[in-house]
Amino acid sequence: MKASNQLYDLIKSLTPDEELHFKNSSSIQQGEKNYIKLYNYIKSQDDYDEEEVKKYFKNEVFIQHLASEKNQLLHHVLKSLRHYRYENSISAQVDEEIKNIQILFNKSLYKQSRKQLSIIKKKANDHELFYSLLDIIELEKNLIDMEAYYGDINYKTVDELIKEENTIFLKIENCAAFDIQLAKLNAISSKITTAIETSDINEIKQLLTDTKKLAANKTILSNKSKIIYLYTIGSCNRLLNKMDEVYKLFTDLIIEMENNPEIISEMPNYYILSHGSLIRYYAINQQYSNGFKLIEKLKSLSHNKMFKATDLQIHIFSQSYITEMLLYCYIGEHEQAKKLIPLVIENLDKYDSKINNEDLLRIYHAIAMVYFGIGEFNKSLHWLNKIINQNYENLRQDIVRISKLIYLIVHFEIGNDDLLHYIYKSTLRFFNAQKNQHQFESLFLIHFKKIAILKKENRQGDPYQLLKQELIHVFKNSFEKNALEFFNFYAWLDSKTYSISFSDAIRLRKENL
Amino acid sequence: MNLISNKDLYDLVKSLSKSEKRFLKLHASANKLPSELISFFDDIESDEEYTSDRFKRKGYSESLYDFILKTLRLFYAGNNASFLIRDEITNILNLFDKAQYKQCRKILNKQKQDAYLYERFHFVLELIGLEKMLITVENQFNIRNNTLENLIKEEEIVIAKAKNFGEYALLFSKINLNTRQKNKAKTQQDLKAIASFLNSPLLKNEKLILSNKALIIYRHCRSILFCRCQDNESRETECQLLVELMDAHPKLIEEMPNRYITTLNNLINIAFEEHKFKTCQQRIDILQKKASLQAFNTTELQLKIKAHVLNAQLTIYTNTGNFKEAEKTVQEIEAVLKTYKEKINSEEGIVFDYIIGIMYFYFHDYKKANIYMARVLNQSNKLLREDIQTFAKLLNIGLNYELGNLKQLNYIIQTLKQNKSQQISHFKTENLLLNYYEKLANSQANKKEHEQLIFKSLKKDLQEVMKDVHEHNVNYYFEIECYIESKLSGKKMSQLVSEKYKKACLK
Repeated sequence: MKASNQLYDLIKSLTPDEELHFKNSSSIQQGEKNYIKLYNYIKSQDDYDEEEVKKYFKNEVFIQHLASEKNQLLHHVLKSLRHYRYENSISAQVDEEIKNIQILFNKSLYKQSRKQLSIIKKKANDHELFYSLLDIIELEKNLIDMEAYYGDINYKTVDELIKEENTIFLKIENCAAFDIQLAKLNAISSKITTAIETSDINEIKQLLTDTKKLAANKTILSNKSKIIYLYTIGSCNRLLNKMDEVYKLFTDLIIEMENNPEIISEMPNYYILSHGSLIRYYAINQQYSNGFKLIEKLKSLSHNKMFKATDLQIHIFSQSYITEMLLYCYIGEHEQAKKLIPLVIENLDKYDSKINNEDLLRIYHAIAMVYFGIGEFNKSLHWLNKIINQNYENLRQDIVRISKLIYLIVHFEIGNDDLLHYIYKSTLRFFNAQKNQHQFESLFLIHFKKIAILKKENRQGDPYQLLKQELIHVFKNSFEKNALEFFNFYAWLDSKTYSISFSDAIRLRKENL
Repeated sequence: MNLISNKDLYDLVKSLSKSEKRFLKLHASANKLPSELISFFDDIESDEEYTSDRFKRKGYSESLYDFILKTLRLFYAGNNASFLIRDEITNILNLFDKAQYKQCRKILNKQKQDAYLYERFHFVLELIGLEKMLITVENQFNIRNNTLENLIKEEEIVIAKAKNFGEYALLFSKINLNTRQKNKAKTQQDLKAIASFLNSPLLKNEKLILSNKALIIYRHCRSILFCRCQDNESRETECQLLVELMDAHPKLIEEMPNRYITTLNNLINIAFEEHKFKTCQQRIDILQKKASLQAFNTTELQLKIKAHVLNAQLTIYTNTGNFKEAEKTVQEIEAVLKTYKEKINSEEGIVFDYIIGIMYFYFHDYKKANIYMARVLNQSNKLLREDIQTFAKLLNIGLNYELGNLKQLNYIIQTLKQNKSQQISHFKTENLLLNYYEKLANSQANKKEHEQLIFKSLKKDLQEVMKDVHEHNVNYYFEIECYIESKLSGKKMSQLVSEKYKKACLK
């Protein structure tokens, strides 16, 4: 989230439909409106430049109080977005209709207030809108108080309402309990795709046990809790590399949500991310066509009204395009993956600072792999630099670490012999400074030194195949094996041995397997 | 808009204020609302009474009803605190969807602060829910504004406060229901029940209170209970503390305007019961002035203030023998009753009818008094203000006696006697009066000259009954001693009442 001009960003983020709504609602007021002039000019700017705005409107009186004019414009845009939301979101409709209950109550039209309340409460219940329900119950307490004055005691008592309220509190607390479990998991999963280190594995296993225990003890009190529960244990299994469980749990989650579409509208992120996890399952299990089908489904969500929010569009973009590029890489179709890059870069520019670092790392890595596959090593280097040259702290260390190794390979491929010496030393320092070095990393660094730095003749045979044999042994450990998800070491070593391209090596391996 | 009837639309149109109508017209023309709908609105608005013929055009009612509500939502968007928070929550969601996380955080922090000021626990919870979402994203950007663990702890505290508030609200509802049936305690059993409420863990002291809102209800409950057991000193203390608390937290007046108005009215009642009419008048003026506050800008609250003020004014004029002002107030009450018809609740209706009936009784206009007492007796909910209904029954006998409706008198007395035998608690004075009216009814049938003797005897017996301090409360409903005195001396009852309260006007 880099510093930006909020008004400019907001204006630029409006979809055509939202812009139309804004223009229509502003046309309600008659006469020329300064804020519309301002809107049109800001919209036309490629980057926000306030000096340019002042210059452009130098003859207008309003420029003397630009700040307040900007504020008014912001107010109108937000207002228009609110009304647009009411037309498209159930929860926003419910919140708007709650105002009807209060308006009618304030007008002492209690019977009408009750009628509205009954309709809205049902809607809020159906959609598990807990906070709206609390608000409705609060209004209902006032209403039954007035109804009692009129001798109308056909509805609930305060006693019953308080019970109802407490049930909702329980549901909120229940959701929060699962939220905490998920947050703990997110802290781990933001660092790694799959657990390799024993401490991580133990922590995840404990989390999985605790979450299951929580579900057994407290029971799952709402659909929302159930979704968080399934997502958490699904993600635990993903980190533990139990892919059959992953498939089962995320499939259950998607079915659960599709059976209750109102939950999708409430928790769309979970729906998107679950698809991402399933695509990964298909990729690992080499069910590529299923993976591509699911990517298409995911992409199609971006046209669905429910997923129109920029935040969700970004998630759909990153989940679908990253996995699509990687799937093509897995099957050696790097040329196909390359076709996606312009669109990916366009979206990177479009969403700019709004894409989170974790997704950025994944995107950079995927693009680097595509260019590596088609032998455009300099371009690959460009994207790897984005990963290596920035401090991502603890974020996705699996990608960062493996990128360091790929970085060495790319320089080797380019033939940067002079640089390679220095980079190798620096890489070695980096890995030595790590708390735990994975077996494959140590092995690779030792062999790479022999191959690329010392360039020693190996009397025992082909150095690439020697490394391959040792890697086969190390990758018998399923946790170590996950490294292959980020870079196909076997294919690269084969490509060197048989002097074929990296993508051909992948395809050949796929055919032989 | 299913379930909404044409009558609902009619009532809604008729409830609109001038400024609301003006805004609706502007909004209608700006939105290019079909002219048929506007003329439909104008027609309904011009109708004096509801007629079903007006609503024959199908589909129009629903569209118009929805449009009016939409307009009202816009009309009140800027000056209703909960509407404002709701809109800001929608802004947060929109900005989140637009991935404008920094701005999202700014609005969220501001709204959370406001929601805490208003002690709107449900909104705080909703904002915490949004913050959880925001924190997840902020973490991905390495921004640490808060942790999920802290938020969940905060959520637990807010839920505890909301539950605590709920407990007090429930307790209040129980006490309130009880009070509506019996305003003042009549028996030892009643007093015992009140004491048990006052000694209950929630009301014994302030230890269990987790928020100002709960504290307000705590004070309100205690003031009601002190009122019921006639400890006006403690009652006044609670009311004053409650007003001070709300004055110190003006947002809470906006949040709980009803309680604020009720408490100011309680202070008026206390001054009246303590025979401090001057203080009473000052407090009426305070309440009247509060009507212009933004927090009370709704029909319901304006009506409530009006009802309390008129009620108190009429009682003071009646007890100070100011017939001219009293009758003027009755006209004002009648106007209010006509304008707001169905919006006046049954309890307010009963109280109005009763005090007007009493006023005419004191000023010896028995015919008019009889009309208003009959209105009280026509109340379908026999449990509502049971105390007033009981006295209305007795006074109905008195009025029939004064009006010489002797034929009905015995029948009414017998019916009432039968009903009273089923009641659990009542003033001894009620029975005494009933027995003497029975004697009067019989003597009227035989010898009218016995009236004086009977009233003398009643006076003597009443003195005996009044040794029980609790029985003095009867005068709160009806100045029985002045009534007997007026029958014995031939003086107007209003004159005797005003003499009794002469000193009260100075305090």
